[in-house]
Amino acid sequence: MKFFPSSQRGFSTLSHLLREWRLVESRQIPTPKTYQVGDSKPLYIPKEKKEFPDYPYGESPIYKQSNKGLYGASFIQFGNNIAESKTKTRRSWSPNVIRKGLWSETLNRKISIKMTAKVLRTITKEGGIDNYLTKEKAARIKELGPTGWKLRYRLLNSKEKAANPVHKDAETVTDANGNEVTVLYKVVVDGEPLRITAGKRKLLHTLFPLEKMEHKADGLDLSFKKFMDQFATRDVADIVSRLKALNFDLSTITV
Amino acid sequence: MSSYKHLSKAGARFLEQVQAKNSNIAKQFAKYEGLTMPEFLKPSLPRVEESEKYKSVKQWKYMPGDRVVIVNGKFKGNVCAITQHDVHTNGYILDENGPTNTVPVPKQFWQQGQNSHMVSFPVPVSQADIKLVADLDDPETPGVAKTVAVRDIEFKGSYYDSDYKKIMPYRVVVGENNMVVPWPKPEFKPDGALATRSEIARQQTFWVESVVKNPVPEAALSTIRNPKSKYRRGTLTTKEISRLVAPKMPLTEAKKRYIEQRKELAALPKRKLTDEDQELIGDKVYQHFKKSFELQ
Repeated sequence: MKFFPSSQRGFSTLSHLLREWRLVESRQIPTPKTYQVGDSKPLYIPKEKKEFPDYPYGESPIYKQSNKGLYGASFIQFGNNIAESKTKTRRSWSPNVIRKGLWSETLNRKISIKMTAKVLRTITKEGGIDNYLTKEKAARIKELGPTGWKLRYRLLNSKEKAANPVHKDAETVTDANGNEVTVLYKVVVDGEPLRITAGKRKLLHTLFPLEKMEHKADGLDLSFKKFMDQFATRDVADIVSRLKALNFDLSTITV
Repeated sequence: MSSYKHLSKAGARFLEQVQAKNSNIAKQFAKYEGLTMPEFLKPSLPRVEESEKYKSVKQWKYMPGDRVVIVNGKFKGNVCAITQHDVHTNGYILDENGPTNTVPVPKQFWQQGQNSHMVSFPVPVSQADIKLVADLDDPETPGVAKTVAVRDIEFKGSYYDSDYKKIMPYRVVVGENNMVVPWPKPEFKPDGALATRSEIARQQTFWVESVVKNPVPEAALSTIRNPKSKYRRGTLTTKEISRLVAPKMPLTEAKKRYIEQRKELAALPKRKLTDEDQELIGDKVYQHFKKSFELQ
């Protein structure tokens, strides 16, 4: 069924709603497999973690430049020039692609990207690239394309992180020198309450050389990877007590 | 022989031609080899190709220790014993009654105790040039063995030969199934220092105790199966799963609100149709039908 726009402007927005997503909806990616610990390994395991979630419509096999920008699901089209003598000459229509740098409030940086003029118009209407990328509509998801999907992940991720920082309720105190420091952890080591000002990563990086020296004394080698396997999942209290056991000066990380 | 085959394919086509069957180049080489090789290194029988070398007892027919008679050449009629097989030429090396070749040997190749340049080497003899000599029962005077040259032999059935320590075929005179020519006794080989005595090897030490329980303990399985086999892929760990699975797209504010709303709606108590409501609906329907019937 096809709708032809009448000469009079109607009130219905039906013709806009019935946009065909043939070239988007046809490229379905396989449903991701679920894995459980203890399952037999698949033939191939990637070396690196995946950085972005899978775009539900995958990459476009045609007009591949559209995979790299915000093209709003518009692709190259083909047709004929028809002369007065009905001679047909093959031609094509490309989307009006422009390169644009748009400020992202969430990322606090400029997003420089290729987009179509039509998408730029939509972004303007939406009130910024952040709003364009994070709109929760099925049509917008189809429009975004792989690059838009990645940007959307970046945006939503940073929003999520901003909303839930790791040390949300960390209190700020003044130390002996009158400087303001943030207490990240409050732990009890050997019955002594400690206020730790260093993050877990810094604690681990402090512990690693000491732990390595301990191993070296026994004639063993300890790689950072092996160390992290052992300590990364441990509690902060455990790490601090280990530091104390290895005669580390705790005053540098406490207040 | 040094070769650069593992590094380069240069000359590979030429080598292929040399190795081909009935290759003229190979014949040419053999000819020049014969012309240029010193006499004491020259084989008297042509070398055979790897695929044509005798491998089984049935192919060899005669084993070291067998007595044979030479039927061709200068030494025709000589009865000799086979001392060994020449695997490179499919030939048989015979004892001192067989053909020998006396050739000069350069001094650097002299053996200990040698005092002449001229050395006699046994010449390998081909299978076609010899016939087996066997002591067979004389049918005319039973009980008395007669030494004869056997025209040819064939193989019928098999048995375990304790001397050779393997299954051997019965060797019979061709066409005479009763005339079995026994295999010669092989040279005695003493057991090595690491050998296990046969009585110990044959002793049964394992008895099945249970059909259900695996007799091999769990810890010993890795010693009988290859734990590092390339076909053994192992099982997934949390770390590997994290590399296989893509991260999830965080929910937008709108989506979160929508989910919240759905939850609130689901938490609301289910509305029940009260009797009054039912009465009201029933009355409405009744009035409607009544009106439509009155119009008819």
